Amino acid sequence: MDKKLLLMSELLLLSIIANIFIISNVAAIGEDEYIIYETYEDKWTLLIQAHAPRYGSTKGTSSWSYYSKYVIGPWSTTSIVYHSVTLMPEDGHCIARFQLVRWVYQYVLVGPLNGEHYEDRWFIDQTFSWYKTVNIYGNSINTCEDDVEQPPPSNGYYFIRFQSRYSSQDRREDSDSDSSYTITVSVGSGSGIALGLTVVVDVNGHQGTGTLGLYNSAYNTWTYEYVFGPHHSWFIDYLGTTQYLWTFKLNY
Amino acid sequence: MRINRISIFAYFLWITTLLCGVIIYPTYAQSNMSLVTVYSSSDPVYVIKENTTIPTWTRELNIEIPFNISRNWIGKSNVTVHFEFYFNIKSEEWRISTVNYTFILNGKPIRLIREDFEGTWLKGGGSYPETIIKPEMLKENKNILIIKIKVLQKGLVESKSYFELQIKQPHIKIKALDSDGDGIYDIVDPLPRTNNNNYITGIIGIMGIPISIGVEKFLTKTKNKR
Repeated sequence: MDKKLLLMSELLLLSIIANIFIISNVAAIGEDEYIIYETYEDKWTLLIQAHAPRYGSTKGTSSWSYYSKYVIGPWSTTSIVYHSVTLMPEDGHCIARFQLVRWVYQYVLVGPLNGEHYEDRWFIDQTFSWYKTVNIYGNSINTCEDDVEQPPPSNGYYFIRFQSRYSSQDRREDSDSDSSYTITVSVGSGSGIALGLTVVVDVNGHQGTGTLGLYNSAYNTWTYEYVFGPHHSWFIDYLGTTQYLWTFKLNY
Repeated sequence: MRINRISIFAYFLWITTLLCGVIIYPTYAQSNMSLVTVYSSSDPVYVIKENTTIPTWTRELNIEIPFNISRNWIGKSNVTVHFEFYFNIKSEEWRISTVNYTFILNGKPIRLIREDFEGTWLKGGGSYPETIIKPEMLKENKNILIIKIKVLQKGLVESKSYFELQIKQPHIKIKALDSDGDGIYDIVDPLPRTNNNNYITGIIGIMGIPISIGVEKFLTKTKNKR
């Protein structure tokens, strides 16, 4: 009886050890990634933009708790760049601020847990202390219909392509009074002031389309102030999927 | 019996010394200490202003910020450089204005920031990611940081151009570090890389042992008497 009990105990112990071994090995098998191809390019990358109505002005503010989030490609690779700047265009002039960053493109084999598949990835690898603030108002300051969506290369570096033009009316402002008036739009903590702006990142011929969102990560409020001069009227188009970043077309 | 008393006395003396050394003294010391020191430049605002028709011109400006740091603060504090900038550029023709900021600490360049403005009408302001000065670059006591600003504007033709760059509130911030995040700053922390609260938890845990032994002995004695 004692021998049987001993044998059973030994068998139980062996089975426990075997199970631990199997479980630890299964847990060790994870999702692997093999980079098949990789290339990079330094590009002027949009941080923030602001458009001013003709006969008016705009003040678009960010501080260090604000960031631009890029989600690129079918696999939604995400990159974040923090910034602190206030753009104050006036009288139909539009401004965009960029930072030189290193964009990496990778073609990756991923598997096997979620099925073996290939992924195209575009992401920011590093940022440089080189900034550029550029006029993007195109040929006319009366309308943002011809605003520049990809400035010509500068200092040997290309810009990413971004959405900045007026395309259709979402809102209208008529200033019938003799004085200017201001409309302030703002978001609080954790919200985004401009989401879903279309962007295209080309890394040495590998083109990835995605979206840019401007987010606020702190308790401060992120604000865009639009000032409209007297006796004029403007058509307004919301850029992206939120109602904070405006482009303009002078009505009269 | 006497040996027991001496052991218990030594034991509590050790615990008290440890408590004082690890928590009580450092907490008291840092309560009387300024944990952030700010050194500002002599002027709050520096301005580079140019109203010209010349297509290409250049200007330079040096901002000096002297600061002191004692030997025991080096490596136990975060030394950072801050300033804000404001720009207002208006020109008849398209121009490119380049602003180079060179941070020079004790005669050695430590960081370069470049800012380009391209266009005819640009207005705004902002700040750059903070410049962190590495401890090995600092000298005991007197240090001097120079922010060297060089502006170069280029245009193709003669045209009216107004350029204004303001540098606001340049300053150096020396902030005491708390590497282990235990609320006791490294400058007074005898265990800067270890969370002191863990020691306290351990000490409180150990304190139970002699009490348990005492209770056990007492219970045994009571049992024996019965």
